[in-house]
Amino acid sequence: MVDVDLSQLPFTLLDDEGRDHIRRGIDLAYFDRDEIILETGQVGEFVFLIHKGEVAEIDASLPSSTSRIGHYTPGDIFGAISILNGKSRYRFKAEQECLCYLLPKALFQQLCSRYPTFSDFFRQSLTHKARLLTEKRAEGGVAMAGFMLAKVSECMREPLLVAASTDIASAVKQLNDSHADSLLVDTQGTLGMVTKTDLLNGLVLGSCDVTSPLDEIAHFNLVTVEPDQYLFEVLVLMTRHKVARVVVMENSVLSGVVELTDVLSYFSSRSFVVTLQVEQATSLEALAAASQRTPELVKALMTQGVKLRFAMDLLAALNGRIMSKAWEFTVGEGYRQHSCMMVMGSEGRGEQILKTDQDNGLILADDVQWPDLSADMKKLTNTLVQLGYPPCPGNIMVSNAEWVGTVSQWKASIAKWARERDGDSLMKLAIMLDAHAVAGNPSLLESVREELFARCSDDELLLSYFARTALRFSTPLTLFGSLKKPQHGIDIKKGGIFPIVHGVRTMALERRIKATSTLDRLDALASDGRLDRRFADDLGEALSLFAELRLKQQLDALEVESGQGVDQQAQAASRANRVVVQTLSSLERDLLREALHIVKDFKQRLSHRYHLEYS
Amino acid sequence: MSGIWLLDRHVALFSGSLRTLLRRESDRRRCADSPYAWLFQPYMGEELVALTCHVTPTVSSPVISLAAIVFNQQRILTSQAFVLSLGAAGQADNASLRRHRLLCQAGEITPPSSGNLSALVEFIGNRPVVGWQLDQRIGALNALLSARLNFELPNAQVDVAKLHQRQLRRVHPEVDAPSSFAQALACWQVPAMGATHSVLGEATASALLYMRLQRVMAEAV
Repeated sequence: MVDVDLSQLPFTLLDDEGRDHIRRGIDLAYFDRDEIILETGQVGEFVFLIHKGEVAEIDASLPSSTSRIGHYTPGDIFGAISILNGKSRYRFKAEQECLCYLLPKALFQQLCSRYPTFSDFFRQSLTHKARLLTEKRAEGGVAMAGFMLAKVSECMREPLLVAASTDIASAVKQLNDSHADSLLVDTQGTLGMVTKTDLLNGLVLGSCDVTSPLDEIAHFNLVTVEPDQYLFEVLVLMTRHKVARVVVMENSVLSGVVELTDVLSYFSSRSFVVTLQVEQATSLEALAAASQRTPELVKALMTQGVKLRFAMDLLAALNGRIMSKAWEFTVGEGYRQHSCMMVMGSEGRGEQILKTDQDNGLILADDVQWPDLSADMKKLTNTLVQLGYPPCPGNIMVSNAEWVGTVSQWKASIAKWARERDGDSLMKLAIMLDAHAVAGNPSLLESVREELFARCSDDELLLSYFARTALRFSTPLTLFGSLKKPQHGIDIKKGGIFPIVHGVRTMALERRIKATSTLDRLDALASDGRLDRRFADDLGEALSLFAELRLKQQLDALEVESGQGVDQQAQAASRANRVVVQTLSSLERDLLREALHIVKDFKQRLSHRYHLEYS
Repeated sequence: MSGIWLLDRHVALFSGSLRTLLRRESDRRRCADSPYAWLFQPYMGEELVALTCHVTPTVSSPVISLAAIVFNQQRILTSQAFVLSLGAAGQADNASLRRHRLLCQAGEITPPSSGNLSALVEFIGNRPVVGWQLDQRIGALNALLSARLNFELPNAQVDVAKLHQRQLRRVHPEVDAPSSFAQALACWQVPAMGATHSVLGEATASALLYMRLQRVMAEAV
């Protein structure tokens, strides 16, 4: 029997006997460099398992620049689909000298008929190939199933119960105050419901005026459910009774209301629910509860294949609202117009999807008098910690006096940093460049940013120093342009995300672009003419790919780490940046390699533009 | 036409020593009327057979594990490999035997018989035989063959070890230390295919090494 490694998918779908069959039935074949292994339209006779070498899949009908549609490396399988389809749709060519195991057609078909899961694997990868990566995520049926199994109790609102004698005017006021659109009316033990439509109809078409009691327009034939019923049952009930709200009764005691919009947004992405919770929060606890639901929201968005850029925008908006709520809870009304809270780093760029840490600072107007400033800021930082934003290890927080200052103090420090140009100053300049106002008076930040551009944008020497950091980490590609594959994975943050973010930041500084998000900056640079539109788009796509890969790992880590110690969490966080190439599918691997090539190209452009060749 | 025939037919005879040459010719004459006569015919096809023998001397009779694989310049037909362990049945399971089993992984040990030996020679046919240090390792098998079937392996033999040494000297004229099989595989970047722990793996690897050396020689010309 041949000693071949069958411990990978799809062979793990077989039992020992099936694997022994393979070991007994395979041959070895050698292919020279550039030799065509399987031609387009050729009848598939074998399944190829690569032992050594690399194989390219080529669509000969496409122009040569885009014709390479797949890339296979040791351990990968090809040719199975040609057997299932009868003949090969594409051309397979050896890119290097190749050694492949050949699994004959007859044996393969025999295995397929005997092991349905094995056969499914290939049929599934047929569809998987046809779709693109983003669409593939939609097949994450597991997460969707989770939503289908949601219970009523997870999605109900607090009931708003008023007495039957309440007049319409105060009912409307109550509705507005609590961001709701229906009220429950209590009339001697029986419950009735008044919706905004009922109010409208009563006032305009009916004979009511603002002082009429509610029970004149209330409906008393309510649909009720139990809190442990499934949410989709509620959806069915609503459809059947043509209503948009049901009342939740637990042992004939009122416990909540479920609205159609809630159910629908729960099934779609829950974004509405979280946003609503943030807006409705009147206490810190309620806000923290809403804030804790964001990872769940991210997961839902990713499951549905929402493009990362839009997910980022939504999350940035949501985080901004949470922060500004926290700000409103802690900072007195009088100071709000004379100060500006800014977030920096990934949060400032709007690229922080999961809460990693807080980077924030405060700008004060020059003439403000704020005696208990430091106490207030400490309180703000602690509030944010409670809301699930861990403290920054670099202490870039409003509780640190260094990151709180008046406009003129900030301008002075920027001038100092631009003059000194040492590592620390450059880092602080980079942090300030990404600053984004979330609460208070944004014009204060604008004036600081103007100063930053005035000091730095024309200083070629400073720009060159500034850009150099982008080249600090090497791109994880081998000399021959294929992916490096260390066992512990490649660091996607250092190798991919950081060079793009920092390089784009440098260019934005040079061109005085005010946008803070990298993707927006790329757009601006392209319309500015500084970057070729196509290249800018490529860079944006590459960044999204890296961010997505990282996000996937972060979400996995989140699931693992809940309930573990603090150091394990820190370890998991650092591991989240590492992508183990061996675990990716060949399509993902291909995309990753292309993306890293774009990064490499970008670095070369940077070193050419900012004269970094010899530094 | 007849001249070329004669040359092809006897080209196999020019390899090996004078003793083997004479021995082979007398074998051929003796077997002219036996069912094995075709084995002495010159081979005109493209295929070769990679052969590996492992001999472990034990108290009674040596245990021979062997693997033979047919291959051509493109494919190695591992699925039709011939793997066999020959030795006296019912031997005590001593340390050297256990070690042999670990090294060869060639399955149950069967006593040599004219049946399984003729299956082997018919599998090999008249194709040239390729192997690592073939002339040293094939001795025990030849002894069995001449005892049971009255002839030794008549095939043309290619020793990959010699090919390797020759090619190595071309690249580095000063090298003359003989290298091991594993070193030779590493030297030509041939994957080991489990050569260290099974006869089949070793036969596969020697076929690959032969293919690689053929290519290297073709490039050098």
